[in-house]
Amino acid sequence: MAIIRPNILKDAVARQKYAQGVNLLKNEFTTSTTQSLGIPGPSNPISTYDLFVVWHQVAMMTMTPTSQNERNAAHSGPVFPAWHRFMLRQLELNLQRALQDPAFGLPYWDWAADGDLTPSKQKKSKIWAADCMGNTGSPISKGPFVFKASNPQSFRVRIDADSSNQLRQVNRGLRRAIGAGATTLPRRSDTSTALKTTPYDLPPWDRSSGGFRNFLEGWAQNPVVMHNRVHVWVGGDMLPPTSPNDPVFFLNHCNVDRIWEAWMNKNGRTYVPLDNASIDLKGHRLHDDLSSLISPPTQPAAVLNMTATYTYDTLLV
Amino acid sequence: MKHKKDLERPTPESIAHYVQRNASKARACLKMKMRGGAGAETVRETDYKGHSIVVRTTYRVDIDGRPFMGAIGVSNSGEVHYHGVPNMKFSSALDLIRTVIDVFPDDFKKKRSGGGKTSGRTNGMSGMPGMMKRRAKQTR
Ligand SMILES: [Cu+2]
Repeated sequence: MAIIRPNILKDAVARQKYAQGVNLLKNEFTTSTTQSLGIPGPSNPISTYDLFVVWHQVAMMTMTPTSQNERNAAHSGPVFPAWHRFMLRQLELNLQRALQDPAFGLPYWDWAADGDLTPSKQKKSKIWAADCMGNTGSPISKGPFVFKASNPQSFRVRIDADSSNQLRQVNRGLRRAIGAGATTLPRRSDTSTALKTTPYDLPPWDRSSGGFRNFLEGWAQNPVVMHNRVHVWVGGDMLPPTSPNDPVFFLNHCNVDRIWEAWMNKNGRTYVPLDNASIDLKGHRLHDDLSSLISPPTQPAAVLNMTATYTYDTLLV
Repeated sequence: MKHKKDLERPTPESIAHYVQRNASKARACLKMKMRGGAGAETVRETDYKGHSIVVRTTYRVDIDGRPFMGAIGVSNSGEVHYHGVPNMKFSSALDLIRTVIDVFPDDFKKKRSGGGKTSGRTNGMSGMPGMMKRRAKQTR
């Protein structure tokens, strides 16, 4: 039976379990080491959660094709929603194991609901309460992801990127600067534009494309909109390519995934480019392998219909 | 089928197994200084009225006299971007570098504010609390 992914603001149990699960995966160490992945400094085991941070960075540094530095194996191209769907599902499966709850569904943050509030009310949304994602700050000081130097079990950022985009080992609290880089979140009018935007994607299959994917990703306007705007609005650790460091990353992407699902529900489960498209689009075509690190790969075709695995409590976006 | 089962139910052991399998590819990607790092060239090509146009752009950026090693690119529509802040685009390379200084506080320790004006910002992190104010010598 399909599990149901809930709205985090409407489900106190999901709220508590998500935070608990993240902290469990933060403290679950695999035998993979920083050294084995070429991350400078002493060799340390990497936790299951932190491997998602590294995986995101790897995908982002995988240029498709290598002759340019915009479209990569997870962003700025057709594969954006599919790759993140793959990543989210991997996190969900790991959370289920850590929580010993095979029915656990990853929660989403319906940011467009907050986006319709005034800028000051957006910053006071319940998502930033101590019983949800915690507050803003550098580092944050409230909630389940506060760093306490004296408590080795407490949440901390262990791997981030420096200004020249190289991974490094750190040991510090999570940073947010809510509302500093952008004054408002995306709104309901943006999500309804997204649902009406067809086709799925268009040449040149990058940040200048028309179509749904590029609008959802957020490149269609300047300043950026939709998914990108959420990263910028939260700020701090949500800005570098190591943005999965902030657990709110997955809540943002779960809502992005929900919008994609709503779009497919309305416009059909279509995906382009097909397999006969140019080799320059390798990594983005229907049956190309998605960049993987912690599991076998999958393909966009395999994730287009997940309704037997999970559904959302509502597709009203 | 084992393959399918692994995908269904990951464990710390299965994760470590796949990381090991993918490690050399991952290391190569992580090391890549974005096609040459500082001084990387963006080549934009188009045809216009039968003429072929090639525009090559490189950025050489110094911060406090030290070369900035990130590879800055420019899109066909002229917006500047940098992988270190992957969710943003900028109308100006100066705005981009100001944002880099804001986003990586560990790399750019706080200096005394120049107290200047920050005109021309179209995007980015102006006024982020707790972050340094930029010395604003405005040239575009
Ligand atoms: Cu991403």
